[in-house]
Amino acid sequence: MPSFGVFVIQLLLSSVNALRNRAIGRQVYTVQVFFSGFEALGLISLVACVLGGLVMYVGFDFFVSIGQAPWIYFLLNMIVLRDVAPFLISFILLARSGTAISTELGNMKVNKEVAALQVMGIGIMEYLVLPRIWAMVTSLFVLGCFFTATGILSAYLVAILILNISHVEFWQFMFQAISLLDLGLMAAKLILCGFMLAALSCYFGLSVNQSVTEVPQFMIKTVGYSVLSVTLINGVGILIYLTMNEFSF
Amino acid sequence: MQLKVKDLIVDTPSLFTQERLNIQLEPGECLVVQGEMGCGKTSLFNTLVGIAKPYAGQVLFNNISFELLNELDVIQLRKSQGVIFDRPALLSNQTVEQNLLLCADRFYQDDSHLKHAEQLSFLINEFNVSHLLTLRPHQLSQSQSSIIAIIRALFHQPSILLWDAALSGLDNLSHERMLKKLFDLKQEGVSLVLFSDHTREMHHLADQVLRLKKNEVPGHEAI
Repeated sequence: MPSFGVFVIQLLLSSVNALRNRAIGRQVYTVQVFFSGFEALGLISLVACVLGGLVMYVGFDFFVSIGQAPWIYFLLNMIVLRDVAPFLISFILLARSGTAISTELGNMKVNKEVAALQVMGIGIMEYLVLPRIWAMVTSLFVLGCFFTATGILSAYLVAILILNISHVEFWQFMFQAISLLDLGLMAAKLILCGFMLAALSCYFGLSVNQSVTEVPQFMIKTVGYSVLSVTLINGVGILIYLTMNEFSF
Repeated sequence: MQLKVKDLIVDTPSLFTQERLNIQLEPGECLVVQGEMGCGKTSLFNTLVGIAKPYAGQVLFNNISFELLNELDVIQLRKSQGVIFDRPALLSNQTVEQNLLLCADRFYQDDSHLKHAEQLSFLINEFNVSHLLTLRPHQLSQSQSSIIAIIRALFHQPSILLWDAALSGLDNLSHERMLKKLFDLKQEGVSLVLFSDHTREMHHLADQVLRLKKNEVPGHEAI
């Protein structure tokens, strides 16, 4: 296998071919979106629901006690939208789909399925890798939006049902707390994390040579490098935010 | 299709071919490669089909090497080759039908798709496997998987067939049927490169035999 950098360059070059012939990867894309996106919806909803509700419930009393009630909306923004959400969803998708992709491709390599595609003239990048990358980016992005919507909705329900906050007050402060920069950063982080997770999973999956014992070894590498890249992307995202927006309430 | 192997050294840890290997196979001829376990048959096979790079030398199909072609030309060359590995290598997440239609879906999205799908139906009927189309590879027996892999390789009506561990994994009936098919293909002018230890059957088919031995110079003889 070439280095990861060369792999990404090959990936980008093969995107041009893939655009000419999209039919071949459509089924792989659809299946991957189903497994990575649709099947993860329940888990993501549950986590978002619990997180949004708990932050609102626990945080509101605290911020009221220090006389800064509106800060809870900035905290909510930080957790269910800008900073924690992309990080958390990336980890959930890494655990669910990243490892699955790496294992699947590794096993395909061992069973010579990848070689069979190669000798049939079917591009590995356009059939195996690109659809999975697009599917992971799509899934992560949609799950991110879903996570934010569910988290805010859950916080809203806690606010009006338990904390006796009015609808108007909640939505007014919530919208004030969210800026275009927050939305842009969230989208960028989700897209980048989705790309890196899928690219690393495919790269290490296809790095397996002939032995089954290599499959878990490369899966461990997938997890390690993915955690590192997701952490870096989110860290850089926070730095960009701090640079572009003075942190003041 | 003509196959020419020039001064080839296969890149394998147990280099049986420290000496350079030269082969010339004309259209409609059959080369049988034989040898004991671990002598590098599969490494040579992988080099011939272009999934492993040679340590030195060249593999030419109609005087064209994979290394000199652009991506589109490689695909054209691949379409003229039928390759069967030592295991069926069917895509495990696809049904048999999807496995077989993969090439048609990939290469023929215009009106010719139907024509090629019909070609596939002809092969499916010839090998009598229409009842397997909805199954997944793990639901097939070894013999059934091998036959599906053979049909997949014959889909493009190749002008050269390269088969590692030829005829292994087939039951008696399929074995006989496939042997007859190989004779028919040869008659039609398809070049055959068969890696096999079925000495008796292969003897009738072979025009050339390449015998590989561990750490020795390969013996190459014309019949």
